[in-house]
Amino acid sequence: VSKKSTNVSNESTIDKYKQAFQEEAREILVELESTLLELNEHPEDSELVGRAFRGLHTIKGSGSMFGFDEIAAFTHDIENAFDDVRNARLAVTSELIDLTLEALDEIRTMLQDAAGQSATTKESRTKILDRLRGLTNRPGEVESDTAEPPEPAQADTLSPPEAVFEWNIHFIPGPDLLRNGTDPLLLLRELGQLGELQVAADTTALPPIHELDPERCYIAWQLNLKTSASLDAIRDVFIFAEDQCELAIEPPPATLPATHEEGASENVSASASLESAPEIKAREQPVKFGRRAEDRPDGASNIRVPTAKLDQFVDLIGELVTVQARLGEIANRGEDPDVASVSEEVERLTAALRENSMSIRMLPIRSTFERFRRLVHDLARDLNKEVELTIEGADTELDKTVIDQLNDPLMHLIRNSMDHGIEPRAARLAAGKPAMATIKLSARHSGANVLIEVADDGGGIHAEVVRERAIERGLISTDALLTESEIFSLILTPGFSTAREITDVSGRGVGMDVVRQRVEALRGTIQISSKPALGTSVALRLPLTLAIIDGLLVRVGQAYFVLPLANSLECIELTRQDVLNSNGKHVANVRGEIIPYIRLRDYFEIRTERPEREQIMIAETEDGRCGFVVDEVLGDHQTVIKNLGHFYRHVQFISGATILGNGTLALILDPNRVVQDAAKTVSHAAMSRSLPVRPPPGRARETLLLNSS
Amino acid sequence: MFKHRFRCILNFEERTLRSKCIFDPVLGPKDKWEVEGTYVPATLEENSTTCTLRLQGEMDIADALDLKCQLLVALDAKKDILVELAGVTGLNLTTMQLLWAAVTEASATGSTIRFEDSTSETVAAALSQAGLDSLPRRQA
Repeated sequence: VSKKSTNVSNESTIDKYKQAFQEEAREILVELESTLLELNEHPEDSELVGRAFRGLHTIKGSGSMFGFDEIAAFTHDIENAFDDVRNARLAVTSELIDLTLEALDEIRTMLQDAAGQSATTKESRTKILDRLRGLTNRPGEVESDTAEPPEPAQADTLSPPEAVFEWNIHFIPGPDLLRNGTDPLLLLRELGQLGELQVAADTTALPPIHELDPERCYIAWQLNLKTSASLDAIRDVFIFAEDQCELAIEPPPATLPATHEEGASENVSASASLESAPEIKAREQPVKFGRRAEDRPDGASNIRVPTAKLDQFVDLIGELVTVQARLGEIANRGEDPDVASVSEEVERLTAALRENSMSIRMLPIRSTFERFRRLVHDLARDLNKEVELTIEGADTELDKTVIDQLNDPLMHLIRNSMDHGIEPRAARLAAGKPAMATIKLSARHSGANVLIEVADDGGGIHAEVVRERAIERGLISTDALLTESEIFSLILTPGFSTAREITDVSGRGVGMDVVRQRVEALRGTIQISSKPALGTSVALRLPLTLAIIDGLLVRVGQAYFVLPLANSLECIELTRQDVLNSNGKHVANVRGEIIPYIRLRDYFEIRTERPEREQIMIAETEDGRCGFVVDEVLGDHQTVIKNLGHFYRHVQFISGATILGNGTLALILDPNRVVQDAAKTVSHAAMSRSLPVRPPPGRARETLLLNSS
Repeated sequence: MFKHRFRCILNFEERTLRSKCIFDPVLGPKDKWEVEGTYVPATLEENSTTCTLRLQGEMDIADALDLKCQLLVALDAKKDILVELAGVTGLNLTTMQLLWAAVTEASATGSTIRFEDSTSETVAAALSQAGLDSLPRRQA
């Protein structure tokens, strides 16, 4: 029976593979972009050239395998250019890098439009290829859907061999190589095409047959290859297995006369070896590749999980946390020690599960950061400025949802820095600064937050200019007393821009407003600091995650609120006598420090009787320390954040809602926004004395409370 | 003489293959299997002195589990084992590993494994590529 008859083709499986290729190709494109930009800085770095070549080779090979022939054919020509670079036939120039970056954009477009048939795309592709051929002086290769790009290995065998080297290769496949669909025999066959190959198999790792996992690879090889092909060409054979094997390629001890050119002069061969294989001279140790041994000692591999599934998983954990809170409440009400014990155990496990699920969502910010190398490169060219982007803390991890929404704010900040912050070359030189400006993009953890900073060494912001502009626009009065930090915060006001000229890059005053909105939507804050002539720094403080927070549960009458624990400092008692002592002002004396407070009962207009003793929960806010007066502080609470929905999207002072163990709803307060909202209701002068006595009725606040109770 | 279909159970927890095979007596002639679409890459025939393991077609990783079970059964029978490779059109590494391990096992337990028609070009080329061309000569 033909096996083909049993292997019914499954279209959905093929689609899955195609989708996987598209996802992987996009990741490779991001890496390629970074590599090319690095290469632009270090054009002599052969490792970077190799990396770029391998990336292109992978896209071409996998593209061809999964039926993306247009992509494979297009990438083939770009790959050829880098093959020329590897073999010193072509130099790395800014033109080549720019052209390749354009090509990557094309590939990205082709990935989006998997058919790749749109006329505009094809036209621009042809232009890129024509320009590329102009650089490489290679004859034009007809781009066609069915074109089968020749393998680089074959290309190497076709090139006239000048000298033959003897390479010793140790190839130890990873245990899962066969399971992952790579056949080592095909690799050995391909290697054999490069020259004369002697294969010695090492079977010592083969276990007794009853212990043998039939799908696992146990055999290793010691290979001896006589070839004129380069180290890169040999390495390319293992390009798709590099992650799953240990590979050591020993440099040849000596040059051999070309096997098919008998009688060739030994001297000629020796001198050719020195010229044609400079990398060999530099390496005395075997060149080790593969990451199996070093990076993945347990052979574990990553799996791809759709984000939607991950979100659902976190949602379910959130529901579990809610149910666990309910169980805890039942256990506390009853007197059954068994229930209490089970409840404690469930609480412990839920907390562990919650932490674990959160850690799954955590991703390093590297890919987002690396993307900006391209932006800086392109903008620097457009603006005729020399700018270097330095990245720090790229491995800092934060929630995927946060990362996804960081792209736009960071892009705006970098564009602003490039356009307005960094001075033109002449101005920098006149100011005694190096022509090459620097933008530093950094990330680091700071408690439950991540601090992301965009700093430049440009001209800085003059606080006085900002102040004048704000007065011009009627944002502040002429006699307003503002700190430098408050003045810089005005930049974030909608429509504010100190740029006199509107450029393509920025200057419309839209960018910084977008930054503020996006960062606030992430429950983050922005801090701007700047020194004239020295530069500007914009720091974004963002929460690690948006899904679950540790909160402090408080009660006012029958209403429950959650205040983020990260902001909470301490709780103190507020007696009626304390209120009388403060002469009607809403301030408390905490160990000699005067702290203004907001009575949530008044703020939310809760019409229940005030208890004899209230509690002030003191929190750290953007505007300094502030107290929130409540009836009772109930304790800490793992808070699963539920969105309030579209209708309440403009309510700034509520981050969301959560369901308590007893089924009631609690609103999650944003202390910063509550303070700012309260401050808006009083004059600036009153604000400087204390926080408002009683804000005017707010319909949103009332409605929210009605719905939550 | 018996023909058997084999199914092995892989114990994923221990990551070891249990040598537990489920024997299903064949319920009809080979034609019937074809109608059912059953693909049998290797068949085992047993007589009083010899177990003949006949491999056919393209042997790949999907057949490895079946082949292991058949080899285990053949080794358990404590008879001479004859491996026929004439019908093989492709041989991958999983098959080679299993055959190599079977020969080693037979040597250790005093059984005999012989390879018939091992000179087929396809098989010889595949074994040579893998550096395992000595396999047919490792007759226990």
